[in-house]
Amino acid sequence: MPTPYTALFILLGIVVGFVVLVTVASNLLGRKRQNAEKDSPYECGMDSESPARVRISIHFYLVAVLFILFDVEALFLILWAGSAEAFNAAGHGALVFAEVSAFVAVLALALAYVWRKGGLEWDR
Amino acid sequence: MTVLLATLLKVLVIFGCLISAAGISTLAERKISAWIQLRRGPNRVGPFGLLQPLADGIKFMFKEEFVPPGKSRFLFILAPALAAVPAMMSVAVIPFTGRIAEIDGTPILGSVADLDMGAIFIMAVSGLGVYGIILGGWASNSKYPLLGGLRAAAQMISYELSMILIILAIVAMSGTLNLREIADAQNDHTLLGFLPAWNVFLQPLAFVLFVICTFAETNRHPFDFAECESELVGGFHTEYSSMKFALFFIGEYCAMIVMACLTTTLFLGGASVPFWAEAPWFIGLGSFVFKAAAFMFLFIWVRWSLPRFRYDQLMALGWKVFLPLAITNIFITGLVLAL
Amino acid sequence: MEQLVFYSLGLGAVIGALGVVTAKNPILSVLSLLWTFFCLACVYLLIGFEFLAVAQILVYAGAIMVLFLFVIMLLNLGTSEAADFDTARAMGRRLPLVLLVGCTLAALSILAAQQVGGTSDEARADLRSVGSLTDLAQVMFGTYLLAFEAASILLLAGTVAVVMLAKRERRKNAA
Repeated sequence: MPTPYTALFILLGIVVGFVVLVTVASNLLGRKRQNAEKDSPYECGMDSESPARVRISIHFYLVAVLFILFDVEALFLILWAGSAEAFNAAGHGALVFAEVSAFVAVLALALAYVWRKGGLEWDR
Repeated sequence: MTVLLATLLKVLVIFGCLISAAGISTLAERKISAWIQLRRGPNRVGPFGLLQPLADGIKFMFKEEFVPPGKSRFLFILAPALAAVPAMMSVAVIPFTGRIAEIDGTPILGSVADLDMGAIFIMAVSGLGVYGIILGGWASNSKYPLLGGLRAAAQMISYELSMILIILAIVAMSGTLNLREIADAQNDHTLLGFLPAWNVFLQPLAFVLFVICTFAETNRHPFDFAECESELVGGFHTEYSSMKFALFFIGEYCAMIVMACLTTTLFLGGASVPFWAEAPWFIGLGSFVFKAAAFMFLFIWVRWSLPRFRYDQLMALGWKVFLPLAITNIFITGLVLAL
Repeated sequence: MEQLVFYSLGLGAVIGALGVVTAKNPILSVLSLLWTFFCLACVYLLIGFEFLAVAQILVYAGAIMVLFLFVIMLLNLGTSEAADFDTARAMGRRLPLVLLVGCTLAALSILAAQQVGGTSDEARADLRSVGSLTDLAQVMFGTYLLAFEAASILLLAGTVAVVMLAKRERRKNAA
């Protein structure tokens, strides 16, 4: 008895198969003539001065953490959005909406705080 | 058993169409850009250059591979696959058309998998595409790719957030997370007696925000900081060649196609035809393809018309404009629903 | 069939977890953890917890692992720092300890499984009934309302913390 997931995993199999096939095929078919110049990282013709893996800006860290926090908010909102109709039908839609609004308000406060503190300015 | 075979066939056909559509999109991109710039575009391979994507594909196969020496070779080879697989997988929940047939009482639907969590599944899976880009940039052992990959990653996660919140407003309105049901919910009545009840008319703000988000999410112009030719050479795939480069490319076009299809489903009634509720499935499919193709044209048109943003402008737009607007949108939607 | 899929997913998850602790390159550790999360999400699907599976992919695989990658790149943890420490060999030397911890954890999870009714069909039917989104929402916005609202405060605290961290770093850079 195929469930929707059967089809999903069939697709996954096909996609992974395709990706592996073309990667391997191009490896076998393509010609190989390596030399040191070709292997060096591209830097507009200059020789590399310093290691490529520079330490990245703290901003990326900030963005990633903020993303997690709001992603969790979105996760709770999925629960509400997916069942809002059921709650409305049961007659306590307004109550649940008020609960969710309080939750979102706190998160909006968090966003306002970051904004105020300059956490959203990229160049500072 | 027949059901399983039919499912297998359907999945194969959808996958084949997706790959072909990605190829056709690359040709369309070049043809339309040529048209906008008063050039001719590719016209040597086949009639009107129609076989160009095929020729490109074969050429990619035979090109020399470059793999930077060092310890990150495995990651370098893995990265294009990690970028392409999520983009191709996210097509799974798109309802291209209504019910195609019924075998032994099991309906064969117009999507690979009719998941109850479809709307979130598509965001979760397409969000995984970010790994291919970060790892591609990091494993290249070169400065431009690293910067391009990181920028693209930060940009994608920022806009993914607004996107999820916009989708949730639509979900709350339709009362379901299943994309097929969201599309159907737009077709069971009309507005003011003549407009189809598509979400684009009910949620115009959400529609505009969502379309702009799709540009940022797929790293397209005017937000293409992943590539950014004039600053970062080629961005995260500067060091990539042959089929590994092509995989990044196919992934990018597949992501665009999926986003065009998702916009169609969420805002333009999916496979419905206005004023023809009983349209057979292939007419519905045609209608869906037409709407999605219009969005693909928009993607290309915008790329060749607008200049690029600056990176801090992009991040400010995402966090200071889109996120508050998306939260406001979902709040107002909820308020209207609750009252 | 279901048993077979379950055990292969479990095996995949364990192999991924071992990869996390033994990989020398921290980025490979992150990828192993991603694989483990994928296997776990499939297990959730198998027992009918669609929401949990999607949440696992959306939050853990899609957000938290991206942060891990950023942190690794932020600290510029290459393979060189980790090269002196061979986790696999270190674990081999402390094999009794590793086995003890592993067995304790296994025993605990078997006990816990028995507490909730094991893998009987009844227990599974019970689990499936909470799997639906509406049921989960009912519990979340009803019984566990306080915890739900407290979660928002927790997220607020997290936001404040990360801004303080990032700001301090900036002052140091300026100095």
